[in-house]
Amino acid sequence: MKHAAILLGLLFWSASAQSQSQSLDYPVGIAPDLPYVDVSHGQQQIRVQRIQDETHVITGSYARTSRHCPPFCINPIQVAPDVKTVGELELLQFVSRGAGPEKQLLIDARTQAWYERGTIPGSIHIPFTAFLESEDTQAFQGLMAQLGVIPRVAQTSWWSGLLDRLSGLMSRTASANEGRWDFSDAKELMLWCNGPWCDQSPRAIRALLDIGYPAEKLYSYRGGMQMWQLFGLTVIIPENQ
Amino acid sequence: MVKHQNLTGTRASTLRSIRRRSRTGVLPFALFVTLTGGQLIADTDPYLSAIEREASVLDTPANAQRLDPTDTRPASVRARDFMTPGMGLEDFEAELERRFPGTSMIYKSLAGDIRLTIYEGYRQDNRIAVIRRQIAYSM
Repeated sequence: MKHAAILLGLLFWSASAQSQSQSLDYPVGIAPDLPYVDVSHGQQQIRVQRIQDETHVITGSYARTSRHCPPFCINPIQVAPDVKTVGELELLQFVSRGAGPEKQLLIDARTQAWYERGTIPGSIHIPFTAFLESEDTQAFQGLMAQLGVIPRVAQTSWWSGLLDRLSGLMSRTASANEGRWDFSDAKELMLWCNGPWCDQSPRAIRALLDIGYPAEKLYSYRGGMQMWQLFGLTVIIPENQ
Repeated sequence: MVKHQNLTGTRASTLRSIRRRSRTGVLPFALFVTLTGGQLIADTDPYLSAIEREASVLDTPANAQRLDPTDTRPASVRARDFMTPGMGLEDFEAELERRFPGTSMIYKSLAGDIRLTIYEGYRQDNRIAVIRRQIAYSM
């Protein structure tokens, strides 16, 4: 009993000493008792932490306060009803909860030119334009497969496809798409772009809702790269850039 | 605000309905879009043009790290390759003690002027392997 108490004490001391040592290593932590988060990015582990230099200030493109509106207007806090808006901690929790890419994806929805200058670790790149493709293209069907969405009914002929499209045009609502895609294994998606002034990920989200993607499986990181930069969080330049 | 919201909110469905219409009957339009590689839609979408213009003057964030695809070691291991750059002598010694206590113990046993040389060396090259080598050679 006595030995067990000593052992427990040692374990507690060791844990608290480690935590203290980590907070000394990272004076600019992410949250209390959260100095950094290790995130899987492809085959690599990336340590997401904040810039430790307390005198650091944002420079360059993300220091700009003003861009022409429209199109760079301030977005509402919520992209659409039932789509949750999240912050940095929720994003880090999302990527570090170990659900894996077969269950969830963090999506950098910006166009290539933005993506290649730096992205949030753990993100995959799917530009918002890909979500606006025609549903009949192979690219769009490949994208749906990547998101865990499969066609509900295979089109048997050109005529049945044409009839489907005509009925869709006649009803002119999103319900025309009901039944086309099976979302039962759809992944949870968290999309982001450049920040509250950016409409790239909101457009992608709206396009997904348009085809019937369940809103409760969609998250929007509204702060985007703008807020990520403001907190000095780790940015990576993707491979092959 | 309301006008803009309406515009952006209907963009995806508008694009889709344009494309649906092209599929269902306007073959020449579909052929034209195919032949021009879809450039027409990109060129006539003012939002795409605006974000591409913005991106053309974008710089890489100061803290962006380039990934080395050949290095698959965990970040926690890689993070021990370097000491934080640009520290003063006191911070350098404090970090050395905190993160690399073994190396620090040997460092502390050195004479003051040699320690200064080690510190000057660190200011030129902050790889811990190089700092360790310098300390070892100075014993």
